[in-house]
Order: sequence, then C-alpha cells, then structure tokens
Amino acid sequence: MKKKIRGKRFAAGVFLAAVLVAALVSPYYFRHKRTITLGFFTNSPWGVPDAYTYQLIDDAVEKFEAGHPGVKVKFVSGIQKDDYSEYIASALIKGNAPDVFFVLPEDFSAFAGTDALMKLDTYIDSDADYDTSRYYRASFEFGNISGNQYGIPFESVPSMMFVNKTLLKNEGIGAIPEDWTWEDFYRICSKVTRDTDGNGLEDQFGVYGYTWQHAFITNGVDVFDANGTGCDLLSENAIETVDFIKAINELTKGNIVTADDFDKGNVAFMPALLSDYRTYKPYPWSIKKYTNFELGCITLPRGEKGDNKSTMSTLLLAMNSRTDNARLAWELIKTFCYDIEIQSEIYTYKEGASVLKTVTDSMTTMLSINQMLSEEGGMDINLITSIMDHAEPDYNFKDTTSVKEIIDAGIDDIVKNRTDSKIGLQMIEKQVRSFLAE
Amino acid sequence: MDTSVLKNSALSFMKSFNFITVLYISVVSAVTIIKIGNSGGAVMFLKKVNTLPPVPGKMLFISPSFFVLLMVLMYIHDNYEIKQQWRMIILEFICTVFVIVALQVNYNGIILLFVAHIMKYFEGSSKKLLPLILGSTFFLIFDFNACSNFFKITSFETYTEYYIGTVAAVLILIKNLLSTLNIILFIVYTILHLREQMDEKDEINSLNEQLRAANTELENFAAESEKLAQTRERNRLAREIHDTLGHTLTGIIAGIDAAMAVADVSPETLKRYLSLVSDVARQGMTDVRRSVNELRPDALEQGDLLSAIHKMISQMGAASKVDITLDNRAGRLSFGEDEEKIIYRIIQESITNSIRHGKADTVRIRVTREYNIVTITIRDNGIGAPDIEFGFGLTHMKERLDMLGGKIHVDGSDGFCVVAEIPIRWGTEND
Repeated sequence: MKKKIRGKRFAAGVFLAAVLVAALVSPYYFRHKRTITLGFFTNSPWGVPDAYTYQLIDDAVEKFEAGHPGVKVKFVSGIQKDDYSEYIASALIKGNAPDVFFVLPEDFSAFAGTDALMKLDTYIDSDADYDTSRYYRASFEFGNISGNQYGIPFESVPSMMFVNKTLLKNEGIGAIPEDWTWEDFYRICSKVTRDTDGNGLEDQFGVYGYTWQHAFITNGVDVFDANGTGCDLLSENAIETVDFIKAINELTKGNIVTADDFDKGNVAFMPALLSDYRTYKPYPWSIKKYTNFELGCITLPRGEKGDNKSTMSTLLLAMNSRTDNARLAWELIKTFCYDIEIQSEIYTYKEGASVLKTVTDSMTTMLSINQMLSEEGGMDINLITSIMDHAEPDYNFKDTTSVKEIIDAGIDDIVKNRTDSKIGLQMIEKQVRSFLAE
Repeated sequence: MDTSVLKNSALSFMKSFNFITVLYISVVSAVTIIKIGNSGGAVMFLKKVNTLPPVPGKMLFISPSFFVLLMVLMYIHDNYEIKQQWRMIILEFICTVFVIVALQVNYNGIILLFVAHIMKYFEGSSKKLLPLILGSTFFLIFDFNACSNFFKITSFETYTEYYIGTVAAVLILIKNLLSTLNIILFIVYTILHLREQMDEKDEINSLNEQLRAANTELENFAAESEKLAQTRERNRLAREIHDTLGHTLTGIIAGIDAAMAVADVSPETLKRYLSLVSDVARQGMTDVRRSVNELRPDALEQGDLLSAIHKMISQMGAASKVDITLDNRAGRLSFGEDEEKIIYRIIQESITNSIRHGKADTVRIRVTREYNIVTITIRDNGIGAPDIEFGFGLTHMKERLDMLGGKIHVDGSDGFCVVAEIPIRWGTEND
C-alpha cells in the first residue's frame, strides 16, 4: 500500500530547503559585490611600442575607487596583447572572466556573437548623464552589432596616409590638399616611380600597402550589410575601384615594394594608422625608424564617387554578461570611456585618439601647438579631428578577419594575373557568400 | 519470468542508462571546455559557436542534479499516495525539460524515460495513448537540429571537434550507443507494458467466467437453502407444538381423567386435581404465548438491536417469571441486518433453552467487544447439562454463526453458559 504524504509538510520541506540554499549562497554573493575585476593588456593594441599603459589604468582605477568608497578594482597585470584574446576567451568559457574588460577590435564580433558580452543599451538609456553624441560616430558604432551596443569605445585609430615629405619636395611636388583625389594620387605615384641611380631598375615608388579596403571606403563601396550576412561586390563602384587598384599596382612594373622601402625613404606614400604616426613622428622614434626623411600625414585620396574617408579601428570596453556587479561595471566603463580627465590621458600615455570629440579637439590643438613650437609645422596633427569626423567604423561582423583574408587573396589574384575585374569580383563574391552561409 | 518483473527491470535499466548518459555528456563537455581553455583554442572555439557554453562547474553539476531530482520525484510518485496525479506529472515533466535544457538539448532520451514512467498512470482506456503521443511530440520538439534553428545551443559534436580523429569519433560513438540503448530499452518496456495489459485482460475475462458460474451455483444453493429453511421451520413448529401444547394437553387429559375417576368419590380430591389441571393449562398458556413471541421477531424490525433485545427480555421475563438481565459493555450495537437477526436469535434461543430445559430462574446476558470481535455470553443458574448434545437449537445457532465467521462455545458444568464470538465486518461499525 502507498504511504500518505502530507501536502503541508512537503511544502514546508521545500521552503526550508530553499531558505537553506539562500543562506548558503548569500554571503558569497554579497562578499563579491564589493570587488570588481578588470581585464586589460599591457602593450599597445595597435602594434606600436608602448610604455605607459599602467599609468592610465592606475589613474582610472584610483579615480573610480575614490568615487565609489568601499569598492575595490582587482586586475591581473602583465598580460601581453598577443596573449590577451586567448586569455579573455579562455576565461569566458571557463566562467571566470573579469566583470569589465578591454576587447580588441578583431575579437569583438566573436565575443558579442556568443552573448559573452552584456547588452549595454539599458544602461545607456537609463543613464541621464550619459550622452552618446559626445563620441565620434565611427567609434561608437563599432560597438554596435545588429542594433545592440555590446561595447563602449575607449580608444580609436583612423587609417590615414603617411607621406614622405622629403621625397615629394625632391620631386618638385607641392603641398597636397586635404581633399585630394585618386587622379592626384595616380599622377604623383606615376611621377615618382623611376630609377634614381641609373642602374636600369626602378628604385623609387609611389605607394606601399594600399589595399582594397582603403580604396573601397574612399569610393563609396559598401561590401557588406550591417549584419555581415550579405555581400555585394559587383556594383559599378566596386569594379571601378578594382580597376584603379590594378592601375596603381601596374605602376611598379612588376617590382615588389616592401615596408622596408618606405622606411628607407624610397616610397612616397604608405597607408598607416594614427597610432603609427603618433609613435614614429616624435623623438626618439623619428630618429630610429624614419632616419633620412621627414614624415607627414594626409587623408586617403578619394575616388570619383567617394570621399576622403578612413576606416576607424576602436578598442572597446565591454561588460561580462555573467557579471553580478553590472551597476558598478557600468560605472567603471564610464570612468574609462566617458571621463574627460582619463580620456585626455590617452594623448599623454597612449598612441591612439580619444573617442570623445571634446577631448580630441582640445588635445590635438594643444599637441599641434607643441609641435609647431618644436618642429617646422603642426598642420598634420590637426587633420586628426577631420579624419575622425569622417571615418567609418571597421567591419564588426563575425569572422571579419577571415572574410577580409578571402577578399585580400582574391584581389591579389586579380592584380597579379590581370584578370578582368568583374569576373574576378564574381568569383570573390561567390567565395565570400559561401563562407558567410556556413 | 513474470512480465511485470521484466518490465520493472527494463525501467530500472532505463534510469541507470539515462543517468550514465547525462553524466557522460556533462563530464565530456565540461572537461573539453577546460581543455580548450587551457590549450589556447578558446578564441577559435568562440568563433565556432554562437553562444557561450555554460560554466564547466555548473555544467557538471546542474543536469545531473536535475536528473537526481527527477528520480526522487519518480520515487515519491511510485511509493507515496499522491492526490493530484497531474501536478506530480507536470512537476516531473518540468524536471525532465530542465535536464534537457541544461544539456543544451544534446540528449533527449530522458523524454522516453519520462513516458515509460508515466505510462502506468494512464491505465484508463481513453487516455492510454496520451503519454505516447505527448512523448513522441516532445521527443521531436527537443531535437537538437530542430532546436538549433530557434535557440542558441552548442552541439556535443562541436565540443568533440577539439579532439583529434579517433578520440572524437569514439566520444560520439559512445554517446550514440547510449542513446540507442535507451531507445531499445524503451521499446522493450512498451512491449512488456502492452503484454502485461493484455494478460490482465485475459485474466479479467476468465475471472468473470468463474464469477458467473459461482453466481449460478449460488442461486441454486439459495433456492435449496430456502426449502431447507422451510423444512426446518416446520420441524421447529412441530417440536414447539409437541413441547408445549402436546405436553400441556397430555397433562390436562391426564388430570381430567383422574378428576373424572374421583369425581363421585371425593370432591376434595377432585378439586385438587382440577386445580392442578388449571395450573398445567395456565403453564401451557404461558408456553404458547412465549412460543408465539419467539416465532414473531418483529421487535427487531421496529427499532435498533439493543432495544429489540431489551423488549424481548422484558416480555420473556414477564411470561416466565425468570430474572433476565442484560449487561452491555460494547456501547452502541450496530451491525448489518443479517448480523442483527442472528444475534437476536442467538439470545432468544439461549434464553428459551435456559427456561425450558435448564429450569433456571436467573439468566445473565453480557455483551463485550474487543477490537473487532463482539462476544455475547449467556449464563443461567439452571440444572445445566453434563453431556451436551448438539440438538436442533444449538446446531441452528452454530450454523448461523458460521455464516458470519463467528464461533460458539457451550459449557453445561455449572448452570449453562453459551459464549458466541462474532467478528464485526468492516465499514459498518461507524454507520
């Protein structure tokens, strides 16, 4: 015969068990509420030498702790940029990732795509002190995927064009205007490509490292839709752009131009990042790297249907979606990304640009004044503000890196084999589509 | 071996295999995540999946815990009286779903275990197919490929991709083997369940046949028994007439003959004889009255047993000048109608015997109860009977008690004592 079970006693048992569990868990929960963990790496995210990251982190942490008495920010120091992606990814899947951590541009889509990052829209909307229009559009939009904000920009670097001012002066080419075109670009490259020592081989070239991405963005080619699910490489603009890349490359007459050639002063132009300019322009790096010429920078040249635009890479700060300190985490993110004092330190200790318009405006002005006093002209750094204003965010859909590699290889093929641009692009598009569909 | 034993062992096997499978998937997934994290494959892994897998520690703990909870619920369901069957089933179902969700829908065989478990609670013919229909529906819904279109989940195969060649293949093989084994066990269980139900049906049919035969027999027996009862009653009447009227009339005839013989000789003697005859006639009258009373137990029909007994005692006491007392220690007496009649008759018969054969002048009746046995003791101070013969009356009493499953003891050494033990039937004691 079945034994009787009393409903009330059963319910009481369940209730007691629940209370017991709550009692066991709560001290753990509350104890952890007062510490917040931060993940960062020590060197520059942009591949340039960097010595002062700790200074900025320390200042920000100190400021945050002062503003939130009793709260302690804990972090693991000494992680190198090269190990950082794996360090965070590993911590994410093991469940012990920091509450707040920096996200490298190349990791962002993968992390956000797995819901490892907290959607920050509610915090942004409910925070009356927080005004997103104070950020550069391209910086802020990089943290947005499919309409959800997964990261807040901390530091941005736009792409720009390095100029060998000495070479141009020697070739009798005057100052290049900010809104220069592909025509100007082609004309100058064509003019400077020549044999200087008379041994029958070209040893001076127009450009090194000019890729489809630099060309596409300056000729209004939208390759992907916002979600990275569609791909359109067959527009007239795109075909025209590939034709231009082919033309520029053909100027070298089969010679292979290297970065070393630019460093030695034998190349007129090289697309680079703002961080490169800020690192190598001042002393002592100006002496170590670009010894025998004066380095300048300019916007990227624009195509017939485009603008002098740049792609902007952005280092984001994100919140762990499994944090139990969301409120504090948001405050810490704001300290790094929205505090004028801390953001200003980017110009003191780091190589990129502040993502806040006011900070970049005032700091670039100050830097250019300093430069004007020490060197022969500060005009170049003033360009930063306008470049950043007109920049577009880099692609941030999943597997951006792989897709870029496919297009890289495809365009390379077209250039090398002199394939018809349209046929070549058709093949690339097919490959990209099948990759994205996987 | 018995079908139900086989069925139960199939279910136990299913439970064990499901637990092993749940544990296997949890352990392999959790260990793999830790290995990926430690070997530098975390970024690659995150690019491959579309959702962060659960934390390894939780993964190891959550689904096996829910499985254990499910087992506890099933145990309670099977072994304790549950009023709301539906609630219990829903609770078990929720638990099942939790196990599946915690395993990222990588194993749905637990649905089969759940269906096998609840099958026995749907014996009614109209709902018999419900668990199977619901089960197969949920089995299809909780399919990894179906769910991966709507939810972000990571397949077991994605985890095993971390391992090289054979190891990955073996890991997947083990998982498939376990789930196939589970399906086979489920099929075996279902077949056994259906067979058991068919056996049960056969048994019910054969029992029905037996019952019908028994009923016919009983009807025949009842007809016979009625005849027998009529014969007995006639015999009794005959003896009553013989015992009372016959005896009295014999006395009266003898007395009147004697009176006639001395009528002319001695009027004194005549008077004495006539007075004796008168006594005998009066005694006869009393006996006849008593007999008539005995034959008409309508007192019982008018009230409850206790008052009927009281009425009988007072009437018999008044008619026979015998002191009869009732000592009831059993409280309210309430029995089935047939039981009441038998108890009434036993008391009546015993008193009659005491008066008629025992020549007693006091009769003590005591009713006691211990647990579900009611004991009736009737004791007189009459002449008793050293050698008791089971005559017509006692045999009749014994027969009646046998019908109730009771017992009778008689003792004639000191007066006469009848002890009747009657078991109370279930359910009527509190009516």
